[in-house]
Amino acid sequence: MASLDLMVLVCLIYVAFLFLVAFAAERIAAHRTVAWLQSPWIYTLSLSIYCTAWTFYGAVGYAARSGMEFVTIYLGPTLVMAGWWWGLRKLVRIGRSQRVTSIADLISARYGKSNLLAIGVTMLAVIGVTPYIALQLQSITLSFAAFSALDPGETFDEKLAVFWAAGGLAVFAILFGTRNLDANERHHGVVTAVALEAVVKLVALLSVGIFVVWGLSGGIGPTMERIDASRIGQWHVDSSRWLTITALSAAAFLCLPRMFQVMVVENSDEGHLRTASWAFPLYLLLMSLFVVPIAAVGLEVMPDSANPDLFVLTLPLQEGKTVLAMLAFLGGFSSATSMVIVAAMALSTMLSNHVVMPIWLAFKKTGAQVSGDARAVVLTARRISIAVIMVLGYFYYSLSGGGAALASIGIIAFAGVAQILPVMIGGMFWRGATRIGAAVGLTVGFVLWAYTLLLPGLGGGALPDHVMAEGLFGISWLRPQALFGFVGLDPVVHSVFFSLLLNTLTFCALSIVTFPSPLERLQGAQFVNVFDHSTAARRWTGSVAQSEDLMIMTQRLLGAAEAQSLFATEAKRQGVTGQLPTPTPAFLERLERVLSGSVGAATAHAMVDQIVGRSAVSVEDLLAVADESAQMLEYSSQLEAKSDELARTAHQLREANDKLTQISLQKDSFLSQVSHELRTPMTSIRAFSEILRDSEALGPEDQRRYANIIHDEALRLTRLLDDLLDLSVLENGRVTLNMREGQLADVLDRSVDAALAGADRPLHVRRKRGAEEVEVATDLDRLAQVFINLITNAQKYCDAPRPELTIRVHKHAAGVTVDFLDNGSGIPAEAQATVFEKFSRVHAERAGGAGLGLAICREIMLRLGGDIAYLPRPGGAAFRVNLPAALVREAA
Amino acid sequence: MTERPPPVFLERRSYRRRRIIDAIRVLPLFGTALFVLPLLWPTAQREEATGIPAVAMSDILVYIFGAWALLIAAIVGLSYLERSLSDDADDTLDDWPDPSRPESTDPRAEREAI
Repeated sequence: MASLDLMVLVCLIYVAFLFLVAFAAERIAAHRTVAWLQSPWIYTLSLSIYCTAWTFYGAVGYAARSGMEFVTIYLGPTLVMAGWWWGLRKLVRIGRSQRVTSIADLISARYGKSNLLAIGVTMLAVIGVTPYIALQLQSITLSFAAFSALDPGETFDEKLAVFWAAGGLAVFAILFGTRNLDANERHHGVVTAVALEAVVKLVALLSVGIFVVWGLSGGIGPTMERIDASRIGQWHVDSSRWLTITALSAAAFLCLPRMFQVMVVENSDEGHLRTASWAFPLYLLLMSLFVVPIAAVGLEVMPDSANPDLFVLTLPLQEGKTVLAMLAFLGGFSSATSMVIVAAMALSTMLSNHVVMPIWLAFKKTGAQVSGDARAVVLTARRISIAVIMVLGYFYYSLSGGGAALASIGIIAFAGVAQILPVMIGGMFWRGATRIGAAVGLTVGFVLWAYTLLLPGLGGGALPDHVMAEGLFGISWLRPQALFGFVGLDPVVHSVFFSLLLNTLTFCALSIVTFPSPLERLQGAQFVNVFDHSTAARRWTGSVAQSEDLMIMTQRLLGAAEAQSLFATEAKRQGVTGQLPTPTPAFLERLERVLSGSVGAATAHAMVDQIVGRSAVSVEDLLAVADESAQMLEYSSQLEAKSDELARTAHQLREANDKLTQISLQKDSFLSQVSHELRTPMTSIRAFSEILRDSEALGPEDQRRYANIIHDEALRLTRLLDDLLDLSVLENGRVTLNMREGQLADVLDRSVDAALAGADRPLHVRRKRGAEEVEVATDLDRLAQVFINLITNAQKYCDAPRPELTIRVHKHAAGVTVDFLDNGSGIPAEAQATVFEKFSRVHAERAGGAGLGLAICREIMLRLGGDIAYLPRPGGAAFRVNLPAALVREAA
Repeated sequence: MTERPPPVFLERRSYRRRRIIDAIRVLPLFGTALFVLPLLWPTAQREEATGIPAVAMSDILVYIFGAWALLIAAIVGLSYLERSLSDDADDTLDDWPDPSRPESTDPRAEREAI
């Protein structure tokens, strides 16, 4: 005989085994993609958490009491799966594209990311699911009790058993569901364990069924006769209940937080729905196939006092099949544990994301900066939430006293969560649904459900007797089970009808009347037209186009000039030349902040999101912003970071390539210019030397003139080659600077003398000796070369009738500037940009040099650590030479 | 982006696939009809009033599970057909915008429209 200790041992071993499976699955999934872990079969089996202990044990009890009606609980989900093309496909796609983490998150995301709605849905779910968890506790306790009843030596304390069951399940759920924090809220381990449990409960129920049909009754024919002869042998149906419960179970299948978790959140591939659309109905069919035979045979064989809810267990025990009973027990245990784990996980996600985290972030404004900090808080919040949910379940069980009051609680829970359905369906198919409509509709539905079904169902004076009999405030239309005078309806039908009807009506009416915010409209369009906006597989899209789009949007909001300067600054910060920066997370965050100044934070977020393709604002996103370093550990973020990195590198490579091409072009044009410059004097040297050689009849005058020309051209060539050599030495940085100290005034004296010596046109130089009393420590000869060049240029090109050059010296904190201002017509604007380039000549017709002088000046000044610039000003050319402070000594 | 009007006639294969998808869409209605039908049958409650004997539980069992199996078979069959007619083997249901909505493929145009 199975002793209680043995039972506990079996349970512990089973749980340990499940944990091992989950752990192994998680390990495998972390390292590589394994086909079977993400197969449609695992997905289908994980959906079977729909079948809880309530359906495992309760279906037989239900059938024993009401005949065929039990099957409606399974028919609803079957119809939902049959209609997968309409509903589930869209729901799953939305869930993926919006990265939804729970049903509360879905509703909140659809209605403009309203946290109020999320909290409402969370509360509704907690209130609806807590009794359901109590039901699981009861079933585990009852099954233990059934075994202990056979073992008279044992004393069985029901309260204690419930306590241990609740505690054990809480620990189990915490260990399973909150081991890590996944960016996608997927839990491969849990899903695999749940799938395994699905197999266990199916095998258990089928085994008991086969034993009853072939072992006890002797085949199908005799079983059918026994069924017809039993108390439930005739077709007995309440049409309104049949329809209502079918619809209700269909609604609950979509809205139960745990179903949403496995169906949408844990879904890794939309294609799995195709398989699940028939495989899950098949699973349900098999689960209910033997329910009626077991119920009928149980009613016949078992004593009248036996609880029909436990026939699955007590029938084999009665017949002495302990092993089969043990299997049945494990099946029920599996149903209870898998339901509790997933429900607790789903609820804790909702509680931590929508209730705890917003509060925590509001209270602790700076806390999220420490790496890993927020993750720990999330995990702790989830663990505590699970514990709280289990404690609630335990208290609910204790208060309601177990027993018959619990039997109908499954339906009550269904009716509660079904209130979410109108808001969800409306959000998916109707762009006009608004947040206010959703909030009020949900509230109306919730209040009516609580008033007409939950409170009366609690029993024990949750609602005073006079309210039940005469209605609230004595108004007979407000009687909880006969609203508007509809007397005599089944309480469930009555409550479901009125709560859902008024819920839908207020939701639609207020949606029509109110006006949605931009974010709601944006989200509405994304939800309703999800198949246009998204693809089945998530893609990391290219980034340059995004930058452009972001630029366009920003220009529209901020104005062109401001947007361009913003983007240019960011590009400079990233080290990318050009206008468009790479959209890194940091840049997006900054941009969002800037934009939120003009359009508000939520809209800015939504707009940037829409362009970049980042999805809904979830707490995960907040965490990602607040805690980037920790989030980087997530696989997906790594991918994202890598793709960003690649894009940036590609951008930089492209720029390097552009630069190289440009340099190569410069080199080509330089070479061609040099050859051109060399060619001109060469040609005249050749021509005149040929004349000298070949012409006999040249007079000495002509000979001297031609020889002079040859000499001049040779000098020009030498000067050009000297300049080129000088430039190349300077550019390559191989120049040796002869650093000395000296007076700036002396340098200028020398330069003016050298430049004007032998000048053919007079140039009046104006100087202020007082300001030039500055001691400089630099290569004085090179500095003089620069000055000579500038003075010579002024002498050559100043086209005023009385050419004048003013040399001004200014001393300031950053160093000394020497300005050379003449009174000519200056350099034309279009030539100013290139005046320091090699071979650039402003007045091509007055070619005095090769156009290398200023290029050399610039190179010299760069080597000396200063610079030279052209100052555009009216009334003449102006060059400014800057000597940095390091080169300047205080005047003695 | 140039917008061409959608073709009036589809290729035979695509046409067949669309009709199969129509059938898939109707499946839940078909299932509902199947499961509501027994409500019309003589029940034990009405037996006293009408005198027509109620249907036996075994018949109901056979009908319900038969209908259920039929529905499942229909889902499997249609899903298989649709898949075999779709162009690529690893089809992800991607290329099926709802025909009841006007197609808009330019994301920028959509952004303006919202």
